[in-house]
Amino acid sequence: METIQLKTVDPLGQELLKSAGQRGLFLSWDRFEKLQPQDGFLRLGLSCPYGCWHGPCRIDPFGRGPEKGFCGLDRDQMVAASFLRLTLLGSLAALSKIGLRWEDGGGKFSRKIFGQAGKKLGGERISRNDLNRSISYLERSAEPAETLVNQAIRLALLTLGLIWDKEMWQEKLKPLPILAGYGLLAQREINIGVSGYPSLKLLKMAAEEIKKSGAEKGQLISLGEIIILNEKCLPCVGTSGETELILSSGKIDLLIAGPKIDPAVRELCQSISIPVMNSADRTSFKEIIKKIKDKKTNRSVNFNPPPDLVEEAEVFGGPLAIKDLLRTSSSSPIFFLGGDDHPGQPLGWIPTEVAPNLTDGKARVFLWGDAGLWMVKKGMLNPQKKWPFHLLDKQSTILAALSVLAEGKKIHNIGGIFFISFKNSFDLTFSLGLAALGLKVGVAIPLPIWGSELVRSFIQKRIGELGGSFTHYDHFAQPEEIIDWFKK
Amino acid sequence: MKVIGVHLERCVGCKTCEIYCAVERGSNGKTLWKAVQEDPLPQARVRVEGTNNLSFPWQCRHCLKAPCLDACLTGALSRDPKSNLVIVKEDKCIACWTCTMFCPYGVIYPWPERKVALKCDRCAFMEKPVCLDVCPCQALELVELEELVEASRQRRKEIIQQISEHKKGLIILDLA
Repeated sequence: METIQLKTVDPLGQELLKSAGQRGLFLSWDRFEKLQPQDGFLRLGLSCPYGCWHGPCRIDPFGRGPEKGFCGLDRDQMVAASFLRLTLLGSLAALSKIGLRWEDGGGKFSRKIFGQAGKKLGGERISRNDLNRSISYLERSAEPAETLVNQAIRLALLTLGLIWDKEMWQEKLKPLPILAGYGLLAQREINIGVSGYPSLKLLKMAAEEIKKSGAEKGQLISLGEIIILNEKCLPCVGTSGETELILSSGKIDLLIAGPKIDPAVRELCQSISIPVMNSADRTSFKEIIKKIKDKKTNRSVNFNPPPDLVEEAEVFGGPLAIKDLLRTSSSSPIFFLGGDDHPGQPLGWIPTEVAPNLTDGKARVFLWGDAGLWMVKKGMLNPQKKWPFHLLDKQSTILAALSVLAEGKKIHNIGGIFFISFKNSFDLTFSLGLAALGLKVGVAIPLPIWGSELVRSFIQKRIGELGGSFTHYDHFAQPEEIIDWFKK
Repeated sequence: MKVIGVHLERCVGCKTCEIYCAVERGSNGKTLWKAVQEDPLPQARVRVEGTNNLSFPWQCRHCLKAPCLDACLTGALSRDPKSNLVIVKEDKCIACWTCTMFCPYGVIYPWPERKVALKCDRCAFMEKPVCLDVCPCQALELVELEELVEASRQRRKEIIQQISEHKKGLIILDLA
C-alpha cells in the first residue's frame, strides 16, 4: 500500500504542518491517509461507468470473481468505457471553461490542423458529433474496447481543437511579473486570500476596497492559482496543494472563494474563524475589513515567515510573449513540465528535482501550474538570474507555445511534455490530445487503465500511429525516471 | 488466540479486503497496479460473499478442532504452537485439494496455477491483518476468541429473550 513519507519539500510548509497537527487541524494529507486504500476497482478502471440500474458491476482484477458485468461487458470493454467516460468529462469541462456554445462545434483552424489525425482515427472528420457519439457509446453499448479507446482519442483531439480555436489566438499578453513565497504573509497587516477561481468582478471589487482603506495595509494574495487581475498577476503565497497549510498559518484574514473551492477549505476556514466571501455574499467588503481590523488584536499568530522570503518571476500568457522568448533559440531542446500537486508525492519534489536536471546546454523548460510555482518559490525563475525556465499562466498556454513553435518550424525541438499529476478529467483529455497530436507526453501518476492490458497497449498503438507517445506508470513516478524519460 | 471478528452491520460488500489481501499477501509488487500485471495473478485469502442486503467477508476460522488438519495428506497444514493458528507450509502442499473438501466453511481455496492450497493465516507475520487495515468501514476487528465467544453468548441470550417476549409460553433452552 502507498504511504506518504514526506509531505512537502518546503521547510516552512513542514513547520506549518507540525503546527497544524499540534492544534488538531485536519488537513488534506490527513484526509488522504484516512482514505487509503482508495477504491481498487475504480483505480484499475474495473468499475462499470455505464449508468444502468442493473449495476454497479465490477470485475475481479484477480480473476476469481465476476469476469463480466451484468450486460456481458468484459474487462477490456469496461476499462475502455471508463477511459472514454473520463475523457468525455474532460471535454465537457473544457466546453464549460471556454463558454463555447454547443452548436459551434469547432472552427476552421482545428479542422485543418486536426483533420489529418482525425482521418487516421477512423476516416471521418473530427466534429461535435464526436461528443454525441461518445455519449451514446456510454449508454450501455456493446462496442468493442478498441472502438471506445479510439473514440476517447478522437474526443481528446476535438477538445484540443476547440480550445485552440476559441482561446489561444485571442491572448496577446506581455510577460507579467509575479511574486511568490511565504514571505508575502508577513508584508501587510491584512491578507485577503483568493482561492477556487472567484469571478474577476468580485476580485476587482475587493481590490478597490483595499485601495480605499489604505493599499499599504492590505493585499489580495492568491493561495495557489495564477490570477491575472487588471493586467497584473496577484502575488501567490504557495501552490494549490498548500492552500490549507497557508490558511492554517493564521495569517489570512479573509478568504474570497470561487466556485472551484474544495469543501474542506471552507470547513477549515470555519474551524479557525476565517470569514469566507463568495459572489453571492451581500456583505460589503467595507464591513468585512472593519471586522477584520477589530478582530486583529485578538488573533494569536505563531507563524512568522521572514518578509524577504519572496521570489520573483515572469508569467507568459500568450503567443506573442512566447514568440519573443523563443526568437533567440534556434535548435535548442524545449521541455514542458507542469501540473498540480498530488498528496501521493511530497509537494514540490518532482519539479524541483527534475527541471534543474533538464537544462544542460541550451535547453529551455516551460512550466505551468503548481510545478511552475514551486520553481518560482525556489527562486529559479527570477528573470535576473536568466535561467532557462519559463512560467506559463495556465496549462492551455502550451498550445500557444506549440503554435509559435509550429510557425517557426521548431516543433521537433520539443523534448516532451510531462504532467506531474492530473487534478481533473480535463487534464487527462488535454494530455491525451497532445499525445494524439504527435507529441511525446508523460504523466507521473497511475491512470485507471491498469485493469486491461489490451486497452493499455491499444492506446500506445494508436498514439504511436499518430506519431506521438503517451507514457504512464504503474506507480508514482520518481524524479530519476522522469529525467530519463525526457532524455530518452 | 486472536481471531478476526466481523461487524456484519458495517460490511458494505466493497471487496476492498479481497483486493488488498491479494495485493499484499499474494503479489510480488505489493501495489495494486503491479499486482494486476503478474502471472499467475495473485489471489486473496478472504472472500466476500452474500447479497446486496447482507455481505460477509469469509476467511479461515482457525477452528479449534480443525478438520483440514486431519484431512491433509502430507502435513502441509499444521497448527502453529505459538499463535495457535492453522497455517499452510507451501513446500509440503501437493495440491490434492483434500483440505478444501473438508473445510466446513469453504475458506480454503485451491490455487491450481501455483499448486498450493490458499488460506488465511491472519497475516501472522505482520503487525495486523491487511484486511483490517484496509476496510473503509472498519467492519473487521481483531478480537480474543474468548471475547468473541462471550459476545456470541450474550447475543444468543438477547435473542432468546426477544423471542420469549413475543411468543408467550415458548420455552427456549439456553444451550450457551
